[in-house]
Formats: sequence, structure tokens, C-alpha cells
Amino acid sequence: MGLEPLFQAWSYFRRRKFRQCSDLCSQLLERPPSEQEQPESEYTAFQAAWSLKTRALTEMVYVDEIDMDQEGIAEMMLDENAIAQVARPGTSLKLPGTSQGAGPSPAVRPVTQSGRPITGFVRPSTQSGRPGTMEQAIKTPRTALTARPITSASGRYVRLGTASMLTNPDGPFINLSRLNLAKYAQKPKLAKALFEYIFHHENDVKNALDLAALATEHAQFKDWWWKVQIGKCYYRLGLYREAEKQFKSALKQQDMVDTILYLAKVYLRLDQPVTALNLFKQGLDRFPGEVTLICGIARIYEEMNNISSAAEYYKDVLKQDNTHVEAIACIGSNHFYSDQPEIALRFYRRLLQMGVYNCQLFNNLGLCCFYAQQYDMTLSSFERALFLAENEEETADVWYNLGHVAVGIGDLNLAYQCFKLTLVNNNNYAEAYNNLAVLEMRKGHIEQARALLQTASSLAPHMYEPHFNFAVLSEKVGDLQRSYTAAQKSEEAFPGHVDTQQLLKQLKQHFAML
Amino acid sequence: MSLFKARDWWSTILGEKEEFDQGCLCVADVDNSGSGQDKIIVGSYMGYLRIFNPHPVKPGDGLQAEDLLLEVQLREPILQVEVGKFVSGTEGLHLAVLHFRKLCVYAVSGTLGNVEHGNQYQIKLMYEHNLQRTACNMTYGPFGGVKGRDFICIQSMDGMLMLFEQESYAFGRFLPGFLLPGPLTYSARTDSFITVSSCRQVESYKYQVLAFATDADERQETEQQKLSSGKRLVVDWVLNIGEQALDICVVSFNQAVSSVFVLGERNFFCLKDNGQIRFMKKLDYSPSCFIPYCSVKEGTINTLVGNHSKMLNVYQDVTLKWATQLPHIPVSVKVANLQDLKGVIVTLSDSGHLQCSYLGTDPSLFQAPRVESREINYEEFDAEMKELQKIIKEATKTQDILPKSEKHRDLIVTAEVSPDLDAESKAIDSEVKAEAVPSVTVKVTIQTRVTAQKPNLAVCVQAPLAVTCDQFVFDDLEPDSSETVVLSVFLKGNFCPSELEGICVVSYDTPTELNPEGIPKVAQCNFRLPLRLICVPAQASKAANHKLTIDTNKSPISFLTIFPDFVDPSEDDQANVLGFQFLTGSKTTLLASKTSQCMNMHVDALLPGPVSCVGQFVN
Repeated sequence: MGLEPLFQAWSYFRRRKFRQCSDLCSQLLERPPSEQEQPESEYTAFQAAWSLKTRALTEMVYVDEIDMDQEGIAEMMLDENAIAQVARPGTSLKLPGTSQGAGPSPAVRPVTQSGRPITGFVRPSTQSGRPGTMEQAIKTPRTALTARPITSASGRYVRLGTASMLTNPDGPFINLSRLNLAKYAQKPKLAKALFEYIFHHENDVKNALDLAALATEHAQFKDWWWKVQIGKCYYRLGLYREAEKQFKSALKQQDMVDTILYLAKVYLRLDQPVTALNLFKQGLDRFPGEVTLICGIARIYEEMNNISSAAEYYKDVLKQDNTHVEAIACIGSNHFYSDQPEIALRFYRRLLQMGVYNCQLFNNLGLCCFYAQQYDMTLSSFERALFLAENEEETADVWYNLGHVAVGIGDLNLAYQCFKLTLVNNNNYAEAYNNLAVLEMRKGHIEQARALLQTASSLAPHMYEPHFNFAVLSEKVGDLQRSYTAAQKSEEAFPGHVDTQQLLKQLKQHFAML
Repeated sequence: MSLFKARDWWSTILGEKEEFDQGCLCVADVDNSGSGQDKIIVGSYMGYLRIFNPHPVKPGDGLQAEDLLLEVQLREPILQVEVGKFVSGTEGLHLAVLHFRKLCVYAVSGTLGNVEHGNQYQIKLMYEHNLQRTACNMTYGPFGGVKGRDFICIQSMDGMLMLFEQESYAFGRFLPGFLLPGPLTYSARTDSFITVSSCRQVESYKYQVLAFATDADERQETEQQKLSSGKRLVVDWVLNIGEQALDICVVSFNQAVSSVFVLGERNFFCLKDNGQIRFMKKLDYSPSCFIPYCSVKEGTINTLVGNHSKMLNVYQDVTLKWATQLPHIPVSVKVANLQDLKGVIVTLSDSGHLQCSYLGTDPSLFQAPRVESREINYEEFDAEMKELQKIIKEATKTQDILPKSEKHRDLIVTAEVSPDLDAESKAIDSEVKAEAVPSVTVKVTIQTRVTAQKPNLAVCVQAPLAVTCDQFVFDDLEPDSSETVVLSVFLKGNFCPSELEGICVVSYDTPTELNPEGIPKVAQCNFRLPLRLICVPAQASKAANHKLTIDTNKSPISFLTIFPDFVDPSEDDQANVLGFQFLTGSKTTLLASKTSQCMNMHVDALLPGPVSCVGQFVN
């Protein structure tokens, strides 16, 4: 008592059992075509099976285009889309520090390479800033996971394409070079599935674009879906203005949340955050309460260093969907850095109750417990964080935080060992070098401290702490020239630091006396 | 991820290795018991039809014998079960079962026994239709506005809609532009059928239009379709949603406006009767099934959406009101009023797990695995800590990531430049056009405190200077031993060097505890060559082609201190003129002015070599 094979395949597809669906369709396709029911009509079982298999293969590797956004070095440095070389404050993502940010200063909240405060939720583009020089660009970690920079985004897509070849050991299911795109473009029911296959499975943007262009012509430019797909192709190829045109035209025809999100992505890539914000707000008028739009607004505010607005919008997100992990994490970290660890603790506990179980959460929990003076939970949280750490960078982070806790309780030996362990796990941890230098200074090992501070400042020139510490150290030793240069660097990194300014004043007085 | 678990009220596993999908679950009062209580009807792809009436003694109970009212093995796979008024002449509910080539309508009736487990249930076949084409799914409703009767519309795998008016077959129509079947539903308000086609559009066809369109059963069906004569099936409205849909549902509750709900693969739409979007929500998970149901808040509709992460979300329009964890991925979800509990959520997984649950704050019991931590015994800890710290101290002496200061160096290399030039010049192959090219001896000493394996000494000077021998290889050195070598430096090329410094580099391997083969290390030192190597004192001349003036903010130091080997100490201490003749031929004169704080340098050719050499000394 078997099921009809096409029905069975269709049922598997609905239940997302793509491997079985694809295998069954392959069997159907191997049957000689004379077994169909109506040889002359437009519909054939062969086409149906082909279309189903195409969709199954695509769904196996489908990733939502809205999320993927990792800029390679080539995109960042050779960006020809710059609108204004010197943007007004608050209108550009490249100069985040100049906006009217109402957030904690770098003295309280650590900053990333580009001067933005560390966010509570690592997304593909939060690590990247807009590095000034090529050297900085190479050093900046670009992916959320590793510190290895990607050279160009398109290279990664090609690798995704080769990964998908594993699904078909006998060779590609559809041979793109022999495909008559014009013929397929005339049949929308086949063309749409084929387009997604070429775009997501084969990662062949050029062919996909050809197909989409032919198909949208055939549809007399009345089908918004094809415009969106063309826009996606243009975005992948880096033709942002053309992509913007396509998305706008699609949006005029039919309001869709996805189109709004794609268009906003284009604006962000063109460094037009205010336009993207307006777009989101218009979208919210049309689709009130749409979580992805509110979340998009919050992310942009965070990138522009406007933490208070970002926090407001994240709270809105939680009103709509209180299981939204990103919003909870970001609000939690905001509270932590505004000196409210107890409230932050509540947010992180909520995440724990929801079933998030990883090293980062326990690390944050440990820190919140410590600063909220719940000392019983601190060490066990950190223990669990160490247990769950998946790679050395996470372990290094946990040890670094443990070092801070040790400094807080006054056990400098423990702090020393913790920072050493941080360095063992991650040799480029600038903050750990800085802290070790401070500890060495206390012990009186000036040479060691100096070497460590120099390492720290060369690893992370955007941080003001190593420069400031080096300035203080040199001044103590009497090397005023070096102290002055270091103090200037510290001031550059963090202009609002009162201690640096005092030190500079002192040094200037000293020099004037000479 | 969710905070809470759906509380299990009643659950069971159906059969073994049976398969189920969306249409296999139905809840209705199928046996017309009149009490308004629903029964759960499940049909599997293996052909088993089961009817349940769960009434657990306490929540969480499993299947009792009395819960299963009926279990029948029909010979063919069951694609869909529906309950409606399918039999003419009566308004009672009957059960319609869809197979691949057959539609059967049954009447379910029960005779009550004296005690509960004496109840008997039977099904009786009322009528059946044989289908010409393989069926996929079906919908039912009062087509054409009839009252008190339900007709059935079946969609076939190749795109034909077959309409049955209870016991008789009405007509069949082909859907235009068909490739793969999508969900199908009937809207009573607009008397139309709504489906989602392979072109990713929601299409609505009026029943009247269907009735009057070209008949699909006529002989010349294929030619007519090709020639497109006769009344083609015209769609009432179309909405391009850009994705395939899993399910469609039409709701018309009293408080809420009639709407069409479409569950797409990534979005969830609510449409008005004319096809415009009322609201939509982007889903960030893969949905599997949904059901809209009545909401307590006026003007809104609640929807249950199940997804492939085993969660069930409750939405009020687009706001998430509740999220709960299910034990399985639901392929079908319904809301039922069962015997002991109203508003029960019934979910069916594709492997046959049927569960009736209610919402509660049962936390998902997630047992975090135990971390290997030991019991706290402070004395033991203290002793262990002391020992570990001792080990660390020992280790940091030899291997540490922090840089070590000079005095702890294991191997030191020093270079001594002899103060006088060689008596006999050791210059070889010098290109300098002078009678005698001087050379100076440099003695390099290597002192080591530890074992140094295969030490290699390299001496580098910048061209045009050269050394007699620049590479030395030694045997392994014992700890606290030293080695000395002697070499000479002279001017080889015919131009002036830009600096008079040289560097000695020693590279060696030293074994440590962890690496007995030895880790590579390097030691180096610089040495400075005398100016006499490249020039001789000469008569000062005031006439020259170029003049450089160096201003100082202090009075100039006498030349005796700067150039001790050029000035005869017997001469006047206040000598302020000095002349240099380079081996390469150029001449330079230095004049120190007594009155103004400046020094003049006269060169006859502005070559960088002489200037920088002298400049270095002056510095």
C-alpha cells in the first residue's frame, strides 16, 4: 500500500524532509517521459517533479539574504559609493563617535575598533568599523566568530556554492551552461523556482540576474517579486544604486516587509542611516508592530552610538515579542554598563530560563552577579562558562573577566594568573596586556610593564588605556618626551578623559619651564 | 526557545511507523452525540482511521481503552478527513475520507452500553466516489450558497478541481497555470475558492465562474485547452505573495471581520476578502501548521502557529502573546472542545504522536549538566595552591611570555673595535682608488651561561664597507664558556658609506625542559667603526662648492672631544678648523664659529656619504 510518489515527495517537502523529497523526485525524473498523463498539455508530471526537486535542493541551503552582511576588506576600502567625504554629525555610520550619543563614555564601556561601544549581541556587521587605513582593515576582525579577515564578500559566496555541490555527487542537477534561460523566463511557475536554485544553491549571480531580467520583461514589469530578485542580484554584485531603484519600484507595487528590509540594507551599505531610519518608520506605519522593522531601527541607533534611543526601540520589540533574544541581550548589556547590574541580571536570567545555554550567557551572568554583590553565584557561573567555551577566544574572554573579579576582591595573585591565562588562550588580547602591565607596575617591574604596554598599544591603537598608562609610567620614570607622545595618543582615543588632560597640562608646564 | 512547556493533558502514540501529514487530523462531533463535544479523528497514510474521545482521569494520563472509540483499517492511504453535512436528506454530520482514487463518506454512530466500556461505535459507508485522477487535498462548504448542505471540492495532483454535490458528481475544472498543488479552501462569504498557485500567488476563483467555465470532461478537452476557446477560468483576484504557502484558512468570527489567513513559508498574511493585505508578519522560524481561532479582544484574531523548532506560538494579530514548547514538530494543530475540557490544543506529529495539551506555566525542565567541580575543602585547596604557585614561579624563570630583562640573558655577544687601525691593512679587493686602504680589527666574543647548540655568528656592515669574514659557525657551547673571533673591516666600494655601524647577530638553539631539541634564540650587538677608516685628516680649505650651516643652541664643543683621532692634542686647544679627505676623493672642512653658535661644513660635492658620516659624529 504505497503512496503515489509525487504526492509522497510533495508531502516530504511540506514537512521539510528535503533529502527524501529530492531522492524521490530523482526517481520520478528517471522514468521515461511516455508515462505522463497528458502529453500535449502544458502540465506534465515531469515538470512538476523537476520543479519540486529544484525547490527541495534550494531549501536545503537557503539562507535569508536579509541577514547575511559581512563586508570584506575590498568592499570597505574600495568603496566608491561615499556620498559625503565629511559627513555631518549623526548622519553617517562611518563616524559614529560624532553623533549626539547619550551613552556611557569609553571610560565605562569598552569600545570597538571604530569607536562604537561594544553591543550586547554580536551580529555579522557589528565588529566592523570603517577602518581608516589598509593596515587597520587587515587587523580588524570582520566575522563574528574569527579574527581572520575576509578579503571580499563575493569569495565567500563562491565557497558556499561549492559546499552545495556535496548534495549531488553525480554532478549538478541543473547544468546552467546548457540552460535556455529565455525559454524558462516565459514560464513563471518554473522560472521562480529555477531562479532561487541558481541564486542560493549555485550562487551564480550573473546567470540568476539574466534569468530575472528576462522574466521581469516577460511579466511586463508588473511582478514585484522579480524586481526584488533583481535587486538582490544587484546588491550581491555591489551595484547598490541600481538595487535601490529595483526595490523602490517593487515597494510601490506591493508593500512587503521583506522588500523594506532589503531596501534598508542597501541604504545602510550606502552609509545612509537616516534614510534607512525613515524607511523603517514608514514601514511601521504600514505594518504596525512588525518586529523586524523595529529591531532594524534599534540596530541603526546602536550603530550610530545613540544608545538611549536604541534601548527604547528594543523595549518596543519586547512588547511585541518577548522571546526576542537580541532585544533582551542588548537591553541587558545597556543596563550593565549604566551601573544597574541587578536589572541586567534579571534580563540575563530570563534568557537562561528561555533555554539559551552557552558560554557567553554564563560569562555575563557571572559578571552581573559579581557587580550586584551576589557572590555565591559568581564563581559557579564562571565555572560553567569555562565548561561551555567552544574555542580559545571564548576561554580567553572568561579568564579576562575572572581577572577583573579577582582585582575586585583584592587577590592580585589570582588576577595575575587569570590575565596570564587569557594571554595563553588568545595572544592578541590587548586589554589583558594592559592589565598585566598595571599589575607589574605595582610590583615594581618597570621594564616588564613598559614592554607589555607597548604591546597593548600596538595591538589596539583605538584604546586609550594603554597609552594613558604608558604616559603615567614614563612620567614616573622621568621620560617626559615619551610620556607626552603617549598622552597625546590617549587624548586622541578618548578626548573626554580628565586624567589625560591633567597629565598633559602638567607635562606642558614642565616643558615650558625647561 | 521558550519559557514554558505545553502541559500534557492526554497523549498517545498511534500505531507503529505510520505517517501523517496536515490533512490527517480533524476534530468535530462526528457521531452526532448532540452534546457539542468534539471527538478527534485521525487517519494515517497506512490506511488506519481512528476516532478518540479522550477523558483522562487526571492530566497527563495516557490512552485508556475507553478513549479509543473506533479503529478501522481502510485498505488505502488516507489523505484527508473532514466532517460536514455530506449526506443529503439529513443535517447530521458525516465523515468524509479522501483516498488517492476514492472519496468515501461514512456515518459514525454509537450505541451506548450499560457501562462505559460497553459502548460500541460503528461506521457505515454512505456513498463513495471513484476519482479519475489522483487526489491531493479537498475542501468543503456550502458552495453556491446552499443552506444546510455541504459540498466537497477535491484538488487533484495535476490541477483539476472536482466538485461533488453530496452523492453526485457535479463538474471538474482545470486550474490555469498549474504545476504543483497548493492549499485549497472555500470562503462562504464570497462564495469562492482560494488557493496558492505555483506562481506564488494567492488566487481566488468564484464558484459561479467555475460552474460556467469550460468543462474539463468533454472529449476535446486537450484541444480546447490549447485553442483557448470557450470560457476560460478567470481568476477573481490575485495577490502575489512571492512564496509558497503551507495552509490557508478563512475565518469569520462574529467580532472580527472576515479574513483570509495564509501561512507562507516565511511570512504569515491576513488578507481582506478582496485580496488586499490587512497585516502580515515576517516569521524568523520555519512554520509547520497554523490555525486561527476566536480572540477575546475585539477586532483581533488569535492564531496558533507551530514551527519546526517544536514550538507553538500564540499571536494576537501580529503580537506574540505566548510561546510554548511542544514535545514534537506538529504537522497539524486544532482547537477542540473535549468532554472534560474546552479549548484544548490538539497537535499531531508526522510520526503519530497525538497530544492534547493546555497552556500553563510549566517551565521547560532543562537540566543543566553538572560541571566537574570538586567539593570545597579549604585546607586542601590552600596546600594545592601553594604548590602550584611554586611550580609557576619556577616555570616563569625559564619560560615566560613576558620579556626578560638584559641581565638574565643566557648568551651575550660583545664586539670590541680596536682603537688603532691595523698596522698592516687587511683590505682585500678594494675598489678604492687610493694608495692604501686602511682596515680595523674587530674582536667578537660570545659568552654563554647555558648550553648553546650550533651557534651561528653573522657580522653585517653596510656596503661599501666589507668584512674579511662575515659568517662563523661554532661547535656546541657548554654552559659558562666563551668563544672569540677576530675580523677586519675595510672600505671596499668606491663611494662613501652612509653609516659607520655594524651589527653582530648570534643565533643558537638552547634546550629547555619542554623542548629537549632546543628552541631557537637570537642575541645581537652593535659596534661602531672609527671615522679614520674612511678618511684622513687634511688641510682645511675655505673654498668649496657647497656650504652647510648647523646652528646649535649651546656653544660648540671643541673638536678635540668630537674627533680625538684627527686633532693633534699638542695643537692649540681652541682649534676650530678641521679638514677631512675621504678615501673616495671628496674633501670636507668643518669650521666652528666662536662668536655665533653655529658650525659650518664646507663640502666640495654634495654627496650624502661624507655629510652623514661627519654628521653622525657631530651628533
